[in-house]
Amino acid sequence: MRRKISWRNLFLSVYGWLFLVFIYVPILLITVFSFNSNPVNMMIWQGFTFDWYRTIFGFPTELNELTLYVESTDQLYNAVLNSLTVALITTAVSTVLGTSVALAVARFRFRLKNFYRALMFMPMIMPDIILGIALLIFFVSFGFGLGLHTIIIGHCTFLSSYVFIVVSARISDMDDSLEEASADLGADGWTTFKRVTLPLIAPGVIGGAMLAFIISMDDLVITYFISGVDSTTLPVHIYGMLRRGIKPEINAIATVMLVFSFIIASVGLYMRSRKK
Amino acid sequence: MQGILRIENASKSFQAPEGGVIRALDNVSLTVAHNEFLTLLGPSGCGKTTLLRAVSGFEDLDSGEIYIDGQPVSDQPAHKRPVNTVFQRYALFPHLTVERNVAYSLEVRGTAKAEIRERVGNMLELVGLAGMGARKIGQLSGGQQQRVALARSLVAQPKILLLDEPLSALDKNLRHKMQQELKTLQHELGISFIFVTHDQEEALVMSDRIAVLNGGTIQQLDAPEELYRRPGSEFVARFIGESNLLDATVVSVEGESCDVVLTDGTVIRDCPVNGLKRGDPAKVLIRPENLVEGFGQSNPDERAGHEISGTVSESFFAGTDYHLVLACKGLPPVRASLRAGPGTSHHTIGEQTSLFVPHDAVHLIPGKGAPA
Repeated sequence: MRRKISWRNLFLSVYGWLFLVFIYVPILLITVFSFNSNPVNMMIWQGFTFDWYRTIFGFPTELNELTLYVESTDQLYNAVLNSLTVALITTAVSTVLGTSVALAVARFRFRLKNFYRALMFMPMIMPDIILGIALLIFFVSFGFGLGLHTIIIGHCTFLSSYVFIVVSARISDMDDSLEEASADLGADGWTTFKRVTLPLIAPGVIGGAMLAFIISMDDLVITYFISGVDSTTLPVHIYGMLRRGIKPEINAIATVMLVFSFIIASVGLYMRSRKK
Repeated sequence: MQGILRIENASKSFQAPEGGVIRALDNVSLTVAHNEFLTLLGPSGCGKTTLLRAVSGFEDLDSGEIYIDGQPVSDQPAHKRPVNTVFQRYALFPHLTVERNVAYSLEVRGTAKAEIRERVGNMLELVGLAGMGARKIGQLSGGQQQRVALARSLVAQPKILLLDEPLSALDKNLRHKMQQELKTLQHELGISFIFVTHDQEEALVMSDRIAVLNGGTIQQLDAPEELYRRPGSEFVARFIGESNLLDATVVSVEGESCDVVLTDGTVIRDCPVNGLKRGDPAKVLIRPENLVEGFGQSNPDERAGHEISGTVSESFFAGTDYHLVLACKGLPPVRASLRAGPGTSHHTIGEQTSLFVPHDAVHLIPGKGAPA
């Protein structure tokens, strides 16, 4: 007897494979091409090399001036340093802000509470380009000179929302009688927060912080508008490099960023699994 | 009476979500004695939980004052009051072990480590959880969680332990066991317990006194037996136990006893007068289990009882009892539980039968318009 082909199953497996192909093959290609020694056309495989990595990390290579596109690694490093500075400060500030608002909205009864909640969702709904322009107009008209501080303020405005949403979800899972129990057992407000609330919402707070960090590191559109001349972040720098032609070093930079993100995500997931 | 807890004229209103105001507590006054097991009993929304939360400090009163051990506590936040609560769903800290849960109040107060270890150990032993200290809360059964919650509240040595329907989540057998244990524990520790429940049976079994609440006021505050035998109002009579309430009018008063006439013309003699005067309307309370069969034959003294006759309209067997509903002319249906012993038999529906009410089983509740 002939086995019947199920068109439904066939369709689903093709669909599933295509899904994986479109997500992972581009990432795989970038990684593979970052080891391609062809300096002219990076789509044609010429041989294996670490040269692009050597270039971005400032090691001497055998590539001559003609093939080498990176003007100076200083600019690149500066951009990385800026990105890290912005991401770290933004993460700290927006985690505190987002968590505080989430707690306030969940725990207290006050006027216009739902209005505040809606306000926190706004930056997520607003298109990045609008937010970027709006922030630029705001900074310029109030006389802020553009620089790292404007990027930090700008990132905090929308990343607080992300943290708010992630932490709010966690709080809604938490039984509020736990905080009452803590007070009942003699703990004041701060002690209750330290010993009960924070440990219980910690996975949400950590998740929100990681999300904020990754988005801050990754943001191009908003940052593009509000960064000053000397305060380029890594995505803005890469975008600038691309405008002057696609260069093989990009693949190496992308791969390094990928590994970095992967490590952060792994650490986060590991910490979450330990909590449970 | 200078009790451990005194509540004076406590009132509290809430804004109802659909508009309007709910009076959760309406001028409630109450005194709880040292070493007393007092139950706040009432249907949901009667104000019992609000009253408990006002004592623990989670609700502020609109007016009135609460004194714990003679000290007014209205200005004290919850964490400073010398009372502890066992919450309805226990509210155990899921991120801490059993031991750390129990130790919580001591750690927060900065008690020395050695003392914490000793007191937590003793408390776990007291509630029968010795050796379980290292477990996670999630690994415990409902009954065990209940015990942890109890130990956690008691280790702080509160002046009053407040219990907010703590047994409602347990199955029936475990609930009966915990009722006994709680009662024993309260007796051993000598702490006043204030227990909130909507389960009248539970209240009767455990309490020294029961405060029946309805609509934000205390309807009656009495010992369980008194409350059951001599309820002060129709609400209390209906809320506690099964009851037959028959409309009646007082026809004559003679010292401490009186005669009343039911709507079908039956005269019931020698009822406790309960402050009623001639001509007053009243409700006659007869508990179904107080109706008996064949009373007339074995006890020929006519004054000792009254006969109620009618047609059996419902009849079923429930193990220890036969439950009957008797349709009588001129009266609402009368319910009876007859002890299922040798000599009693199943009544069939439609059968004519007579039941007897011993006169000392009759209680009069002043009816509408009568002095309360």
